[in-house]
Amino acid sequence: MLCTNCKKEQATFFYTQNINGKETSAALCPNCAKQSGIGSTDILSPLFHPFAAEKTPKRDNGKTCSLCGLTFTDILSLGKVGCPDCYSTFRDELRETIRSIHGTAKHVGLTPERSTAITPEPNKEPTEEEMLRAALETAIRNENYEEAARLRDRIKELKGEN
Amino acid sequence: MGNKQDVILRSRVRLARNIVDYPFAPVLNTACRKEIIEKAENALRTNGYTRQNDTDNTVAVHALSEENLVSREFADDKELHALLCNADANTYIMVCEEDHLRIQSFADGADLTTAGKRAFAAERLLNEKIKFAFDRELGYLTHCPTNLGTAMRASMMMFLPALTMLGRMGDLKSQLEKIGVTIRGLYGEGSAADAYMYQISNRLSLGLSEDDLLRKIESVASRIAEDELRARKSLLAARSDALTDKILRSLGILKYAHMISGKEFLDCYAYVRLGISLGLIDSVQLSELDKLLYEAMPAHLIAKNKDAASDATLRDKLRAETIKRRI
Ligand SMILES: [Zn+2]
Ligand SMILES: [Zn+2]
Repeated sequence: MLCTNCKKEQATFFYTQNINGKETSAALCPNCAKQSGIGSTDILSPLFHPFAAEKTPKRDNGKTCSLCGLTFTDILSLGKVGCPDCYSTFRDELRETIRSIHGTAKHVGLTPERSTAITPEPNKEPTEEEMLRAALETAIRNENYEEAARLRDRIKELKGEN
Repeated sequence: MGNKQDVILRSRVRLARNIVDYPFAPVLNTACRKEIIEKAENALRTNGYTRQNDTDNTVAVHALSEENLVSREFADDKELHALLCNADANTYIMVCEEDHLRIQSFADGADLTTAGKRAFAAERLLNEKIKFAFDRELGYLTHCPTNLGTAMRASMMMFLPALTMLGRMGDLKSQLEKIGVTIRGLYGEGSAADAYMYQISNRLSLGLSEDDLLRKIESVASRIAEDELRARKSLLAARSDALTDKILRSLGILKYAHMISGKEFLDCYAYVRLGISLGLIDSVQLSELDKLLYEAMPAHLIAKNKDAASDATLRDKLRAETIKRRI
């Protein structure tokens, strides 16, 4: 079968998606698949793998996103969500993943209601806590749980000091 | 020996924003893309922004991507998309890229503050007319979870020949990783650091405010720049005849070559740039030399002479002529 996008190359990647109740299917050649971003091998993909490695994969309970139609299994295999609503539909399922990427799952900063002026002061060193949090995140990613536990304790200690 | 300005060439702030009730690319259909482009145009048109027609012209849009003003993915995209730019040409808004809206603002040299102010000025205009997808917990919602939160990337383009030559980049990279900062070659993920040019940026966007992210990248870049200048001192102290020879030969090639490939150009460009900062070359202006970083790239050459698209020899000749005009 030919790629449904460029209609030139042999398709190697097939998928179906449900957008607002409408099924669309596509078959892409490696080039077009890469450009569409699906299954991209960027930094994100390995971060989703820990789910599978845990041997207690989150059950796909049949829940689908009402805006884009994706299930949580779809999201895991794509490595990306389908629409903004996926984040609320799968909030609990995604929380740990987001935490393992960012080291936190709590936004700090600008909101649509309050567009504050940005007035950075130059040359502020990263705080010790910031450095520890980043190190913690790296340790978790490298599955170095002993180091992660040590760092977590240190962050707790720091918070106690303040 | 040079100063921070000749280590840090440019600062950039990128903000991703998505509109509620629309799915993300790649499942965004043409009708939705049209609506999104209209919304963005409506919010910005009366504020001095114009839609660039260049997005249909592959050569012109690739020329913009050579200057890193738009992403490579945006330039390659065959679906409906649009580019809006302000009158000062320091803020570009990619519409229907990976995220619905990607605002990119630039400032010369080490000046993330200015780049940030420009990006947030555009963001405020959009925010007045458009309901962004936002979540109390997760911040601005983005296609890729790595961009959640502030959905901001602050980056600085850095010239690091001495640290590279002295084999320091590996260590630097792992040190930066520990504090959530990414360093990569100028022309995208996985590419070799062409011409010793690198881009440093924040890897994470959730949990730190916009101000803190900007300050963090600024302070990290400034420390790297100090290291680079120190490393250049040791290069000079080593009084390497081989390095001096390489630098002056590179100048010779740029000045006199009749044909020059893109790769050879970047190599010579980097050595001449280093030569200027080490005080070995004073006949070339840094600002003129840096213009070549874009002018000598393929899409820029093809934009001037479309026959160069299919003729590599012509391209190499045009490149040599372009270089001679500048130095
Ligand atoms: Zn294809
Ligand atoms: Zn969804």
